[in-house]
Amino acid sequence: MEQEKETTQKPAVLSGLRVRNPTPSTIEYTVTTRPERWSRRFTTTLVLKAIVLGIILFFILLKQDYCDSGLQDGLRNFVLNLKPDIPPKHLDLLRGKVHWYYLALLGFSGVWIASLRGYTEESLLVLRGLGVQVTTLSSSYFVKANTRFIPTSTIQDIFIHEGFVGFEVRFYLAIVIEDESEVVVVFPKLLPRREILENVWRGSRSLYEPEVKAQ
Amino acid sequence: MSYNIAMVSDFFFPQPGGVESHIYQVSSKLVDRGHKVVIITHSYGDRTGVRYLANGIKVYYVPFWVVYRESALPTVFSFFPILRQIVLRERIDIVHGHGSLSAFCQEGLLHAKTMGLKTCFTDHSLFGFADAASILTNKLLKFTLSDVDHVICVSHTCKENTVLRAALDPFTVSAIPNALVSKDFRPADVPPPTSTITIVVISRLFPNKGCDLLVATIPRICAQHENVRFIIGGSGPKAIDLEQMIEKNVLQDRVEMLGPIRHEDVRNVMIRGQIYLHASLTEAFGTVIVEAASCGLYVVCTQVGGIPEVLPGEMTVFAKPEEDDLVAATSRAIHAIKSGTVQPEMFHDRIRQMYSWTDVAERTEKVYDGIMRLRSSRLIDRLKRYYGCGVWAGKLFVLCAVIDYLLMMFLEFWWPRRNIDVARDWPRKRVVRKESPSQTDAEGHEERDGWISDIQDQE
Repeated sequence: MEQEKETTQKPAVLSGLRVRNPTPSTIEYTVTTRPERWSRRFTTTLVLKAIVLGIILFFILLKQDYCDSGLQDGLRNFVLNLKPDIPPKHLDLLRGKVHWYYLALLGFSGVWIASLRGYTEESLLVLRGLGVQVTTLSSSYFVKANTRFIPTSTIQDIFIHEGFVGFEVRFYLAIVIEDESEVVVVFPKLLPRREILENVWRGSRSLYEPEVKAQ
Repeated sequence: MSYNIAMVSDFFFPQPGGVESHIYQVSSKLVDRGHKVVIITHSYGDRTGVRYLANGIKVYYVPFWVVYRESALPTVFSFFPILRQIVLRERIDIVHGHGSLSAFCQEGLLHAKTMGLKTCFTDHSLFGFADAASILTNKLLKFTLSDVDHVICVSHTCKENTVLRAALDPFTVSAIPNALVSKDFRPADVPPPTSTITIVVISRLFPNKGCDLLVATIPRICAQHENVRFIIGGSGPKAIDLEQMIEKNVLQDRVEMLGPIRHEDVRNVMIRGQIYLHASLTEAFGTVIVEAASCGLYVVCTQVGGIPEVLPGEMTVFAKPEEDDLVAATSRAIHAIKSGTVQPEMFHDRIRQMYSWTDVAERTEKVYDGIMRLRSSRLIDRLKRYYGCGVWAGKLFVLCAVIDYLLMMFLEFWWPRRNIDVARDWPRKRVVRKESPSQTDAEGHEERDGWISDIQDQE
């Protein structure tokens, strides 16, 4: 019964894992929370980012002197029509009277927000006979990914174990490296589920046993 | 039928002690019988996380203090999230708590009950009823035990004590004694000569272990008998009194103080003597006198607590816990050894037949069988039981139970159980029992030690 349960659950559990096999001697395991293209989450994020960038662009255009003052006046009149009792000071922003500093600050933070990925992606690249490379993508498109290559000669062991994380007990895949007191945890942010880890672990065994065909 | 059992206690390896070794030995034998056992305890120094012991016993060293500091919850509930995770990922059926002074155990039992699991509790010690600390502990014990499915005590005296303290129905309380690994306590190959009688005392030197009695009796025994020597092992606050006694009576050449002794060295000290003197004032079971008898020592002990149940009459000389009677009893023992009317070397085989952890595990398993047949109680029944615990305490306990239930609802929402990975089991042993219907008790034990167990391939 238990076996049945596992097989029925498998597709759902493994959904976060992507396996690429670019050459016969390399396998790349990627664990990601990236939404499917044109899925609801993907579109929502895209639209939100576009709105943020659009608003900022709009304010910069307002500030620009070459922007015809007709637009500013038109906007002011539009707002005053909607809400006649608004104090005129509140309309400074619309009239392009805010300082450049604030606008710059607003602009940078807006661009930063737009550059956030909104997902985490971590991968393990196994190069048979050479070593493994662990990668954690940073949260922003502007910051470089955190990558580390570990040659086979320094790898002592790769294992799956359990540990306490906050109020939870989670499985993790760890690599023991020679002359280092701490192990390297693969997929440290996402800590994927056991089935994924077991799959990856079997694949990484090909480091030691080149004749074992990785799945 | 095999169960998944979680042993919950504050006391576990690397800390030495009776409860610790009890948990380990029983767990190990339960694994031999085909069950799965995980042990949950708090972290000791850098010993944090999940570890495996021999026989595939999994130990969760919960980093409790970190959790405690991180959470604003009072400590009554702070263990719940972690316990729930462990219970779900290990698919636990029975939560078994050990030691009434363990906060972990008390909390674990409460939460396990809230989650609808079966619970069991083992009490290892006797308590008074009069002093403030005991009253508080007893009240707390009443709270957790009023809803525990079954209670195990290490002796009948301990059972009476627990029934009174926690106001339990005696039918839900069983007495299962401790045991010992008898092959670690073999008698000496060459027994020490009886020309000088050596009396061994090994105990923690605390007031409740009867150190004042020792201070009073040792000089009198030394005065009465010419060729009697003492070896005292152990440490504690009363060591200084014993040293003063030695100096005052000039007994340096007759009384030897060894200081603290590691458990694996106990046998080497024991076999240097012929008589073991146990002057304790309160004792739930007294494993040390079983160890002494197993090492082939004639046991002189005070008749307190659970001690009279532990050994058969021919191995012991009982005394009332008072100076004169203890001196008289020791003298009787010395005469018996000198005249050769007792053969302490024969004790070992008897003890081996009487006490074995396999037997303890078998009886514990029967308790589990019993509680698995019980229906789990509804929340309203639990609340009724808690309400009956006292005028004010009852209301407080009901409040705690209700909050615990709501907390469980919250945890189900925050960490849904479908997101919790189930841990892989250690390959279980398949237990094949040799048929031995018409054999004597002694042979039965031999058979039981010879379980054939082979590893079942799960993959």
